[in-house]
Amino acid sequence: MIAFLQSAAIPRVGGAATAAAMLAYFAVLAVIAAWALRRTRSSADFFVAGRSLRTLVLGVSAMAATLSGFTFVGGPGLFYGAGATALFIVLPAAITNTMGAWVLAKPLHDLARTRGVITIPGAIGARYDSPAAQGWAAVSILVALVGYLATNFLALGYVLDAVFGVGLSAGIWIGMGVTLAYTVAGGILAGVYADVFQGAVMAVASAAACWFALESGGGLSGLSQTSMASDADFLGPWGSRGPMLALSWFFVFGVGSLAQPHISHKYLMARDWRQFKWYPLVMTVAMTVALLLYLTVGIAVKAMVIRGEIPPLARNDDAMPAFLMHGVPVALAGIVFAGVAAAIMSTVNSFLSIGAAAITHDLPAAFRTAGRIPATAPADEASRLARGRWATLALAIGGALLAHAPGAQVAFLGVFGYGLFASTLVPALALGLNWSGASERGAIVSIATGLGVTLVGESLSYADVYRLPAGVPWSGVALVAAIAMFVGVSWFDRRPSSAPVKREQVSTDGLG
Amino acid sequence: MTGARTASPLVFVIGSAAVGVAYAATIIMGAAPPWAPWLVAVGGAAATVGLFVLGARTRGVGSRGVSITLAVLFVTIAAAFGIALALAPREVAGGPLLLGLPLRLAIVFYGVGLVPLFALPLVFAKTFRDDDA
Repeated sequence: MIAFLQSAAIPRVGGAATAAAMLAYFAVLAVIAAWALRRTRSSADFFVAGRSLRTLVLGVSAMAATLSGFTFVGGPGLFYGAGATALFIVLPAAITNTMGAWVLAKPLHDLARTRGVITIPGAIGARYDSPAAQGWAAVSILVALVGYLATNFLALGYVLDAVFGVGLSAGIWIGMGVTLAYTVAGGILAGVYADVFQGAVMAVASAAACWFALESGGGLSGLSQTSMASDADFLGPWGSRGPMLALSWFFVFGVGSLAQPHISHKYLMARDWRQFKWYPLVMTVAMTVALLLYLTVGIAVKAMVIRGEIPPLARNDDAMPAFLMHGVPVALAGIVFAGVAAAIMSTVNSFLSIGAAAITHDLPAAFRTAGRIPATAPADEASRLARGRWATLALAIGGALLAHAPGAQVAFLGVFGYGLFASTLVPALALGLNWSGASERGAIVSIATGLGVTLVGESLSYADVYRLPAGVPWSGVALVAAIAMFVGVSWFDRRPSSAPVKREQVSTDGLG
Repeated sequence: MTGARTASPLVFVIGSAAVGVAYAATIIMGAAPPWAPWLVAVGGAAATVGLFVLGARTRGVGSRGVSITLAVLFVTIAAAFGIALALAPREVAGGPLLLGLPLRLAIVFYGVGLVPLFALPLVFAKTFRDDDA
C-alpha cells in the first residue's frame, strides 16, 4: 500500500499572497464557528446537526469530507509516480456516490427516524440488537481514525509550514487548534457548514489547477502524447503498478466506500427522506469538479519533466509544489493551498465528531447490559454535550501528539485507515442493513476478522517481514476475508437476528 | 424479504468470492496467474452491482427498468476492464488516442468513470419515492 497523505516537507510556495489567502480562509471558518456555537444546544445538534440538513449541504459536505489532503497533494504525486494506477482510487467515485445513497440512505434514515440512532456503530447495534456489535464497530472506527487524524494533522502541519514558515511542530498545533476550535464549538453542525465553504474552495482550486495543467502541455492529447513517447506504462490502462493492484483498488475503494463512517454518517443527518432524491447528483457534480486537479496535475508534471522544463522530482509528493511553482500564477498558489487545508480540515472535523461519538455514546452503550441509552433529562443532555466536547478535545490532542512521531510511523498509521473501515464495516453495515439473513455473531466475527487481518497484514508489510505478491493489497484480502466470515457465520446461524430495520420501533435513546 | 434471504446477496458474494480466488491463487503461486486480473475485474464489477441489487430490494425498486440498468452497469464495467485487458498495448509515440487519452485507458476511464457518473444519479432520482419514509 501507499501512504495516502503528505508525509514530508513541502517547499515554501508563494509569499504574502499565499499567506493572505490562507488567513482569509481561516477568518471565514471563525465566522462559521461563532454562528454554529449559538445553534448547538444538544448532543443531537453536536453529532448529527440536529437532523436538519438539506440536499445541497448534505451533498457538498459529503464530498468535502470524502476528499482529504491526499486528493490535492498525495494524489498528484501518486499519479506522477505510478501513472494511471492512481486513477483507480478515484475511478469508483463515478459509481459510489449513488451506491451509498442507494444502499445505505434508506435503512440509516429509517434507523435515525424510528430509533434515534446518531452514529454508525449505533446503527449496527440497533440492527442486530447487539451492544457487543456496537462496541466492536466503535473500536474498529477508533483504531482506524487515530491513524487518520495523525496523518491529517501532519499533512496540515506541512501545509502551514510551507505557507507561513512556522516550522512543522507549530504548523501541526496551529492546524489542530483551528480545526478543534470550530469542531468543539459547533460539532458536526459547524463541520457541515464549514464543509460547504471548504468544498467551494476545493472546487475553485481544483478547476483552476486543472485549467493550467491542461494549458501547460497542449491539452489532454498533448500531455498523453508526451507521456507515451517516454513511458509506455504511465498511461497504460493500469499504470506502472499493474492490473492486480489497479483492479484491487477499484474493488476496495468501490465496495469499501460504503463503510467510511464519516460519509455514511451524513445519512443520519437529513431533515427528511426527500432530501436524498438529488443528493447523489449534487455530490457527483461537486466531486467531479474537485477531482479535476487529481486527474490532471500528475500528468502535467510528468510531461514537464519529460520536456526538460523542470528536473526529475526527488519525491513523488513534490509533484504538486513543483506544479505550483512552475505551472500556475503565484496568486493561484494561495487558493490551492487553502484548498488543501480545506480538504484536510473538513475530513478531520468529521473524524473528530465520529470519534467523539464512539467514545461518549457507543462504547458506554456497549458496556450497558440493556445496550440502550435511557430517555434523557435536560441535565443529562447538557452533560452529554459537554462530554462530546471533551472527547473531541482529547482526540485532537492525541492525534496531534501522534503526528509528532517519526514520519514513516505516522504514514503507516494512515495507510490502513481506509482498508480497515472497509473490512470491518462493509459486511456488518452495508450487507447487514439490507439482508435479513445476517446474524449478530456474523457481524462481530467479520469486524474482528477485518481488524485482525488488516492490522497483522499491514504490520508484516510495514516491517518488511512479508509482502503480498503481484500488488495484491492487504486491504483487499481483509475485505474478502471479512465478507466470507460474515456470510459463512450468518449462514451457519440461520436464525436472523431481526429484520434489517424495524420501522415500527420508537426511539430508544432519547434523541429521536 | 424472507424469501429472498439467500438469493439477495448472491451476486455480491459471488463477485467477492471471485476476487478472493484470484488473491488466493496469486499468494499461493507467488505471482498473479494470467486469469487472476480477469477474475478481479469481473468479480469487482459483480460485487459492485450486487450491492445495488441488495439496495434495490431494500428501496423496493425492483422494476424491470432497474434490473436492466443494473445489468447494463455490470456489462459496462466488466466490458471496459475486459477490453483493456484483452487489447494489445499500443501506448507508444504516435499511438492512437480517444478523446485525448490512449485507447485502452480511454475505454476504462470513459467507460467506468464517465458513463455511470451522471446516469446513476438520474436513475436514482427517477426511482425515488417521496413517500417511502
